[in-house]
Amino acid sequence: MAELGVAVAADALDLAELRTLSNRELLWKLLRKPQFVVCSLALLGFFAMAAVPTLFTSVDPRSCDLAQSRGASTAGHPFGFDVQGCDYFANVIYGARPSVLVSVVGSAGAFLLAAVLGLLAGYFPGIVDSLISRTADVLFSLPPLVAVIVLLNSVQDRSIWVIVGVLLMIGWPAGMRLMRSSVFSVRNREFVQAARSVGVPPLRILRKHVFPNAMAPLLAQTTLGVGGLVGLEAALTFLGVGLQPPSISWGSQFGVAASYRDTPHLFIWPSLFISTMTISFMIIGDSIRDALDPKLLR
Amino acid sequence: MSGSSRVVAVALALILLPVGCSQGGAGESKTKNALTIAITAEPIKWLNPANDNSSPGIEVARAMFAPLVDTDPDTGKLRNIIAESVTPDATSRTWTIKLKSGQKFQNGQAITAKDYVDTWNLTAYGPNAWQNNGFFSKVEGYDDLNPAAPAKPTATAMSGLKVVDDRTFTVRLKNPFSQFGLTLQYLGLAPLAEVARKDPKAYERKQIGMGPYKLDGEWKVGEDIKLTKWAGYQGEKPQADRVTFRFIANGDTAYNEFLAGTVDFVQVPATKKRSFKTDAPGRWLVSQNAGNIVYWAFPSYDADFANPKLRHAFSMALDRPALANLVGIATPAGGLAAPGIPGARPDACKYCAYDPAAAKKLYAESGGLHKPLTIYYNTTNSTGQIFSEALGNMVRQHLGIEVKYIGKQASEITDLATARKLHGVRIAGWGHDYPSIEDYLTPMFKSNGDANFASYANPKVDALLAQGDSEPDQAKAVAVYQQAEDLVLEDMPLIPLWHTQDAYLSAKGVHPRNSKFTGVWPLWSTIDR
Repeated sequence: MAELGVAVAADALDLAELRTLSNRELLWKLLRKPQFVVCSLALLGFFAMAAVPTLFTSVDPRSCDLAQSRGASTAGHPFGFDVQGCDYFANVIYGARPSVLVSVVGSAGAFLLAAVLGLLAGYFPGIVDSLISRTADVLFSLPPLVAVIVLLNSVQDRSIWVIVGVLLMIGWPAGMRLMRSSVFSVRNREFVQAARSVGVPPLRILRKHVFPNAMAPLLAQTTLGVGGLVGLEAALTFLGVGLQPPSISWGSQFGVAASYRDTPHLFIWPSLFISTMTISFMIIGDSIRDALDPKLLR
Repeated sequence: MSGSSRVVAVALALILLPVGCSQGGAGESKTKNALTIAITAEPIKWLNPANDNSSPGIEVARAMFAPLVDTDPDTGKLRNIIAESVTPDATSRTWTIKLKSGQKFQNGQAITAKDYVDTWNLTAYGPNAWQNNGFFSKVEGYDDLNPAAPAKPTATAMSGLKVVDDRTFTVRLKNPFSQFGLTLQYLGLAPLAEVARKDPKAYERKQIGMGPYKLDGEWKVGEDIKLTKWAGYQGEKPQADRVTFRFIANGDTAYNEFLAGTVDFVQVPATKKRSFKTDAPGRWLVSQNAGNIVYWAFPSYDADFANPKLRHAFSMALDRPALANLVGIATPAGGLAAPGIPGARPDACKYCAYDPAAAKKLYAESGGLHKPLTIYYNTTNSTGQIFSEALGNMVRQHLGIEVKYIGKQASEITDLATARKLHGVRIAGWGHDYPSIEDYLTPMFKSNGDANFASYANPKVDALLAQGDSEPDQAKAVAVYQQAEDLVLEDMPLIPLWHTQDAYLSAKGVHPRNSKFTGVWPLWSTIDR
């Protein structure tokens, strides 16, 4: 028994050296990358905008005077006015909330859902795997954008949570497949077999041994996908199936600006914010993936 | 310019030169007295004004045929074209139409009263299923030709139409209708020549007209319609010797064709309404006429909106000039009839002036809304949401109410309203069929009107409309209709918002007639190129 424990520990140590870094090491490694730090600060800024917009502007975004419609920037109104004659700076700041909520909650939710289902499908072949994988196949067979539009069109009052829910429903299968395949590569490794042989209950094995060793690819993919969700929210609103007025969002600002091409400031500001946020997420995702990639270690 | 780019420019010019010449149609249209007019629609399938109520069909009919009467573009008064006189009897129920003498079809056949009566009977005969059938539903005897589904027609001619002599016929209506004379300017009422009536199908490609232009050879479906001036037309002669109608289904494509110089005239599509002035400087025009009205419609079946004071408050909270500015090319509404319509008063509406303070007071007196105002907007086009938000912002800020928005396809909104399940406001609109104040009242505000968006019913309004319909004197009839308009505005089931105008592009040296009464007519362009 003691021998076995030593063997398992040695194996784990060996693997750890080969495989990955501890969380602290990972963080340290990331913080040494300047692009990661800059993008994290930018994201912090966007999160603050979403949480407490009044920190950035004291103007009410819904106080509008149609006479000012599409006016250029003046003192106190740095971004000028939108089509409805509302202060555009305030509107762009307040527009951060839906984008941040969709991207962060959507990604976290999709990560959780995909991780749990992927673990189950990968670790319990047979009926559990079939059930989950076939459901995913059905969802895969739907063209995602069409499915999202149909689902959202059937909802009368579309709140941000409805949109997050629909995106989760359509989005989890890809992550689940990734997780499932990495679980396959881990489940028959020696340390898992060892844990199984000493009678550790399956859920504990999944939590303690399989998940930490199989999550890296999914984590990288999720962080890379966050930016895409910001864009997707904007696209859906632009198509008229996303958020409805009076919600303020970059997507709807973008949609309105599309039909006023002679007033470029309507178009430039929200797109600048959308791109900055999307790129920040992508660079962070890239950094995490690089840090986790065993081929790039040492 | 550097040497190399000059070479490139010369080379480009050499390449482009033969291309410019090879476009036969384009080269032709540049000759002084020929016009190529783009019609932004699918090509029409036949040439028969009696069986065509589409706007492209009517546009072609305006060139090949002539109406009995029309609106004088300079004065807005009704003038006779083919008719010598149109006279109602004392109750406006029987109308006598006398034709001018010596008028001919383009095949030489004289135009007689019988041609009108026979063409109209052919159109009204149910089994023919011609598109302008419905026009004659006001005529006595129409029902015999159009019985309910399983029954067969019991007659082939309407009892209300009678030929008096070669140049005179009478029309007896089911009910008095003082505006019937105005409806006679519809080109769908043009007569077909005797040979064409005998075999309408055969003449769909080589129709015989009686207007300023005739077909230049036989026409094939899908091709341009080529017309040449017809010397036998006795009415006002247009300047262009040749006219080509080119059908371009997509508005943006037609617009780009104009910019490329292949057509001389095109209507600006909605997507270009904000950019046409810079795209074609000096070559655009905005119609002086706005034959339509846009409303904010309330559901009269909803108890929350029952108090007229509430609707007056909403109306006075709206800054119409700013809204018209947002729409682009539009006139703020000050009454129910479009400007230019006889009897339209720009200040008919007492509650249409922008006055936030008075609006707030009225709103308080009305008891207010006890829930957020639901605003339905049309997602079919990009402007539905923008205009609805502008309206919503104004009532929210000036009356202190909350608003919520629901975006739906236009057809879904109409279905909800028809089923009386729409519990909010929406934007609705109407364009007139004939230039009469009556056509801005009956469809929307008569209790069984065709376009009664608000499900409005007021017996007093119905009575006044009936009184106007039977008043043979036009001035008196208009005065009665104005009383009805005043009553409707006092109830305000629909808040009048604005009248939109159309914009057009026309080639350099081509100046289409632009009238505040009849709008833009490219056929009667002045050409100085």
